[in-house]
Amino acid sequence: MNDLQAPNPSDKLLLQQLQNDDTTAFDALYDKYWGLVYTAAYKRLRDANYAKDITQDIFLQLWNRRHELHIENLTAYLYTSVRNNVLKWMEKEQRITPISDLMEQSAKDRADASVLRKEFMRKYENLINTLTPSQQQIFRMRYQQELSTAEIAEKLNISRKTVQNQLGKSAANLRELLGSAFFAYQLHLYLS
Amino acid sequence: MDKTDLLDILRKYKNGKASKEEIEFLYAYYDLFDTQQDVLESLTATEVNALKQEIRAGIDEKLQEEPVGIVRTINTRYKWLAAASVLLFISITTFWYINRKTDEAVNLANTEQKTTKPVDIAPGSNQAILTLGDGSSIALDDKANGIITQQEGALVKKTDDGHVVYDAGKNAIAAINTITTPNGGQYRLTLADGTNVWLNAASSIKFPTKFTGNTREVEITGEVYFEVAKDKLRSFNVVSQNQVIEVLGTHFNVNTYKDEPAEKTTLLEGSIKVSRIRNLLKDESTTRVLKPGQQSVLTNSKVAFRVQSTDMEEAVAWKNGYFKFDKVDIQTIMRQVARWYNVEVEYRGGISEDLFVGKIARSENVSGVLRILELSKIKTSIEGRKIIVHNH
Repeated sequence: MNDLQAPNPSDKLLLQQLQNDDTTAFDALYDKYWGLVYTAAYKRLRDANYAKDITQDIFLQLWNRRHELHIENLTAYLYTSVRNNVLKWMEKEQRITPISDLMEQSAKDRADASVLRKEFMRKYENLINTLTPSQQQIFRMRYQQELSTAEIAEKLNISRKTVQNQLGKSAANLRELLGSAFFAYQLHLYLS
Repeated sequence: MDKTDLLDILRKYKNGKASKEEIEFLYAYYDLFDTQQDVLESLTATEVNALKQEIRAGIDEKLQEEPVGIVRTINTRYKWLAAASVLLFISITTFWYINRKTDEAVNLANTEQKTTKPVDIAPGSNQAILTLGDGSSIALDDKANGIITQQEGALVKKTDDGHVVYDAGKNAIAAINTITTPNGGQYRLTLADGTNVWLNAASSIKFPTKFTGNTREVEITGEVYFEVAKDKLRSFNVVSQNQVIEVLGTHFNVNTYKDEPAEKTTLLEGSIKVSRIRNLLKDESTTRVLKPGQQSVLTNSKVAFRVQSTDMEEAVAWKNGYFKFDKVDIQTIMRQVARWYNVEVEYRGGISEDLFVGKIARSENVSGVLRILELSKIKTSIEGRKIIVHNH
């Protein structure tokens, strides 16, 4: 969870000094926030080099665009910058951590983990809701009720081929990506 | 919702085409990682500090390179001057000098080129040494045009325009050859597969007289420009000091001089993959793909490549007969001067921190380059084959 703190008064002063080309203000901001940026990038990428690159780019931007940027809340700005960079990187390098891996980390659960998961499930549900009603119906039967495609075909009185087509690209390999932990968790949510 | 679906959403997000639900889903997915362990907690205080310094050094290095009008003085860490101190633009007939204090451009157009100097040094020329598989050597500059040598069925010819062409017959057996240019030399050759190669001064290429096997591989030192002949079945691999470059057919320049601070690979056309070599093996985790106009930079202190967009003209100016400088320091200029004019360089009274911009023909005598430095108040003198740079 992003610990979005209230705008920090000392940051505000430093940002003003930064706009006046004060390099000591830049030094102070770097010393204070490099760890936050690096840690956030590293958590997603698990690659020190990319985390370093992203940290460098974000602080370079902060300096190079100091005259045009009007930052109210520096922490929020930095978190958003990391997210943009990380999502870009994931797309470019096609390296994605399966959701199941993230869901399975329950052993050393932190207090905010379940909040994040509930939030994720909610957004996931919203995304499913954008499927056509018939795709949704089949999707839920397949993955939430764990029916086989043959069982679904029988229940809905359509061919198995149609079921498979309807599951289509967006859902076909859901199981592989999300893994059983995800469904166990989802079940838990439904029951709770 | 498999991996490709997630990628689809990421792609839509990047192109600004994701729906609200997709964006929120991505952000929620992103937030899930927050529960992952904090990497800095697993490091010692010393390691954390080293990491912090390393990233910071990278930022400073980039700030020096980027055209944002900041020049950091060498001695005062973290202190930048507000504007580039001295920018100097040079062409063969025109000079502009921007004074550091007044920031006012003084047009020195059409400065008379021909001053008679008592001492001067001629530029480099087309010369190189060919070392054959058996270790014997042939000086290529004084060979007449025509067939130079024949090895195991592979012909080595010198064409009318003075470059060397390898022609491997069907029955030719591959032998390893090396072509080396000295300081003050440059050379062009065509490999057996039709790939054209330009060697800058103090450079070398090691290659087979005939390419057999699944890849075409050459080893280089110094600075080399390639126009690789297309061959979809066999990639062309260039191995330099710390990196390997893989291509199918394209144009690119590799600057891998040991006395330069970084290995730079610049792509002009097509696509190439660069990877760092570690413990003699290609390290796939460092692989980066370059697009035309991009340059990968590899410094010894860093594991990863930095990829930046670059002035392609500057990167291959040497091959086209020019020196081109875009905000570079005096030492960068003088390293190129030393190689092309085969001279030593000595700095007296400290080293100027000004940056220079300019372009000049490599066919000029060394005095041409030095005169330009003098215009920006850098005094130089020539003693034998040594150039002395005086700081004021």
